Amino acid sequence: MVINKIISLNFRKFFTWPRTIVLGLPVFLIIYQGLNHHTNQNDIIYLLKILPELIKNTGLLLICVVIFSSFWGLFFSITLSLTNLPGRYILKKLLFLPLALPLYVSSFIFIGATDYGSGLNIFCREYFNINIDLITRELGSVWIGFIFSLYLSPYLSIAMTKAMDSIGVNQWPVAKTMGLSNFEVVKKILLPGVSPWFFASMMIISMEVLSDFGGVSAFNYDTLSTGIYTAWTGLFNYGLALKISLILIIFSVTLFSFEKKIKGKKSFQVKGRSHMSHPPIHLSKLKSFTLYIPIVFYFILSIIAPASYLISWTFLSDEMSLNKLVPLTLNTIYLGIGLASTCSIGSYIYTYISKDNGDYFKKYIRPFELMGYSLPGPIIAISFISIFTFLNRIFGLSINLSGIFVLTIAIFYRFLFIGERNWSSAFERVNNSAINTAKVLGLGYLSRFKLTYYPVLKVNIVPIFSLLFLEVIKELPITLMLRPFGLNTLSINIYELTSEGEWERAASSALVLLLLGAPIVLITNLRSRK
Amino acid sequence: MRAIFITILLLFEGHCLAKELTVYTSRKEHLLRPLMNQYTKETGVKFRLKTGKDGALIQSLIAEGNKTAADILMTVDAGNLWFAKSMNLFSPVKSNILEKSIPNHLKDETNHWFGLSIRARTIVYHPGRVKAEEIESYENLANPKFKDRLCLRTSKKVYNQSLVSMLIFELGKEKTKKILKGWVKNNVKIFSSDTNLIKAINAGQCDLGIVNTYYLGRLQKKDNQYPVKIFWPNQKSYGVHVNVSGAGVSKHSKNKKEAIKFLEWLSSKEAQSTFANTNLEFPVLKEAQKNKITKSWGSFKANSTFNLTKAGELQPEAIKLMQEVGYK
Repeated sequence: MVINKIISLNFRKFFTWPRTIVLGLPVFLIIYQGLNHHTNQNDIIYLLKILPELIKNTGLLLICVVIFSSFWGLFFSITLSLTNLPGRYILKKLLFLPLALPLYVSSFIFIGATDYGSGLNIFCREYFNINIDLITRELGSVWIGFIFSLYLSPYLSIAMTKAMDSIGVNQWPVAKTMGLSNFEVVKKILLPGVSPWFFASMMIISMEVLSDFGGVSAFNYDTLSTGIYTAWTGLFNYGLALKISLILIIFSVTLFSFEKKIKGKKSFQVKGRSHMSHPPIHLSKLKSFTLYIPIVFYFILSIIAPASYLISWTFLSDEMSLNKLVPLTLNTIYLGIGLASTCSIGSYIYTYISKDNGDYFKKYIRPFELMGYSLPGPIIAISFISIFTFLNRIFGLSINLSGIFVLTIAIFYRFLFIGERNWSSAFERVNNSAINTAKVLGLGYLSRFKLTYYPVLKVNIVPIFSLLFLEVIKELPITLMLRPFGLNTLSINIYELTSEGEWERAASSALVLLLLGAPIVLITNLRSRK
Repeated sequence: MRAIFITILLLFEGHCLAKELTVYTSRKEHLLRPLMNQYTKETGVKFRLKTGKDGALIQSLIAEGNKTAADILMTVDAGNLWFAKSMNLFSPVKSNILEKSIPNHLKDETNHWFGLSIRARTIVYHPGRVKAEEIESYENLANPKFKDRLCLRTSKKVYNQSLVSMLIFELGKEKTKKILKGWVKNNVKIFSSDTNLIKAINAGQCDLGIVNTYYLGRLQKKDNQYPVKIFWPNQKSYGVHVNVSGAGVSKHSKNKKEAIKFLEWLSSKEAQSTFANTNLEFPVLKEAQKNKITKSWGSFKANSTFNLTKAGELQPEAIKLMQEVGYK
């Protein structure tokens, strides 16, 4: 009874603003500090000089990543959902794997693989007279965008494949009876149908590109995020860094508005089965073989080649010590499970209580609640340190600033967006008429949840947890700054060694991080089969 | 029940009595742990480490104010120590030991921070493609004869920002600008790490570049025939640019005495050897023993006119200058 009352619509609406204030606090703090920072003449000159290039570079990178990711996302979803390509079930599960490699690791591997002294470069120079290092440097944002897309497109591929599976099973036969060709069914029926998933995933990808520092700095590519760091750590001007962060915030709000505008009121509901046991497009052997070329290309570039590099570096270094690796791995797993569970549950609650907010709210206010994913991690960490120091001071509390509590809150804030995107896509599949019927029948929330939400949402629990687990274990700046004293994880070990240029020594930790993705794939696989 | 109570009491008492220092450090844990373990063994004082990037650690200290747990802030360059001091995060230290052991140009004028190891940023070259006598100085790398032969690390790295700060101090802004322009004009190839830069020289992508010595040291440790050599520039003028990895005592530390004792211990002969040699750096204490590899590089004249407090002061100007000439 109490639960029903708490989650009643009026109650949820009443607490909308307090919720926004709490969740928006870090962003409001950044905006407040950024706007209140005294800008002298030199700062203005500096900003005017650097900003055009930073904005241009960030925009270019964003466009490149979006284009390449769209290609991979559409290609995989259509191929794996609508065709009878042999091995498609396994491939669907393997799509998760590239997510296990952090951008800062994969970027460095690609730099190592293409640099002048690498075996690949020597081979290309000797046999084709091509210096691939030079080409990649010349390509700049296109090359970096391509590399990033290998590791970010799984967000899109996974979501779109699931959506295609769900929609295709219902829409395909109907569309075919209307005499549409395969191409027309995909273009006119399926693609518009999966657009909520497309834009939701594309937002995740865009936000990750905006906040990335490790990847772009490895390529020495200047974006708003590197501009923030230069202002902060180079010019010793945190206020100026916050001012540049404001542009990042404007970027994010624009993306949210863009997404909202394109998505409009589109939503759809799934009835009946959500999996195609007999895909509608039958491929000849030749077509299957042809389709396998880009698939093999993708997996070689995103997983096989980087894993081979990591394995060879691991054996080249003397760092492969189980005494070091086992505690790091266990810490990573414990922390990952704890934080991913909190993020999964927290983002579910958030999505549920915010789903009935009006359009105005969704368009203009919600972006501020979900902005954690697009902001540089250290700035989030500093914001939370400031907030909790303030609370400690005002209320006489003694919240440990290097403790699991503050770390959990900050990580939740960071990944709320990922959870919300996935849960809200899942919520869109819940049958509204069933919910209304349940309400008319006077069923309380728990009964309604059991009868209407749970059957649809249950298939998403493990994938969302897995996704968040992968995100949490590779997260670096917040964990680095807010973790309890002495708690080291694999990603921290990678940072410690790579920032000293010791990539070979860091390879074993990166390899374990990658291997941790494998059980996740297995678990998701088993769960789906059930 | 009584046994449990007594156990809890003892545990609690033990916790209260245990001396503990909290160190915020951008120097990596694997470089510090051996020393800290040694100190714990000798004195019983334990350590809690918060590692991270300099800027983030300093901002944490600012945000935490007097609620901070930090007793010591340790960074890997003097610019950040200068900045931490200017933010009033350090407490002045009165210690005869530290004042005597650390040379003046490697510590703060008012003893708010002290350098603990020297990091020399010098020129490295491939002896098969460059004659040592052609190099001479940092300035000479702007000479057109090095067109297409020069590699540099990104201007975003503090080590280069500090080097350019020194050039501004020694040569003035205009001359430095001319040098930087010359480097860029030489079609310099930019790398995000010193190690990659040295490997590029080895692979033949370029012939010479500027790095911190210990990066070459690590490669030489693995292969003592590694074909890239060190050159000490500006030996007839102001000397090689050196920076420090150093530390200061946090203004709001609750264990100032212990923190100072630890810094004093770090400046001792034995600790200095370990501190510097773990990362193939140079000890600040002249009497401390050097590593075999660092010894093999020979002696050199280090710049001593440029007090490292200036590194921080001039750093913003250096960054702007590098951006102005297009040094990425």
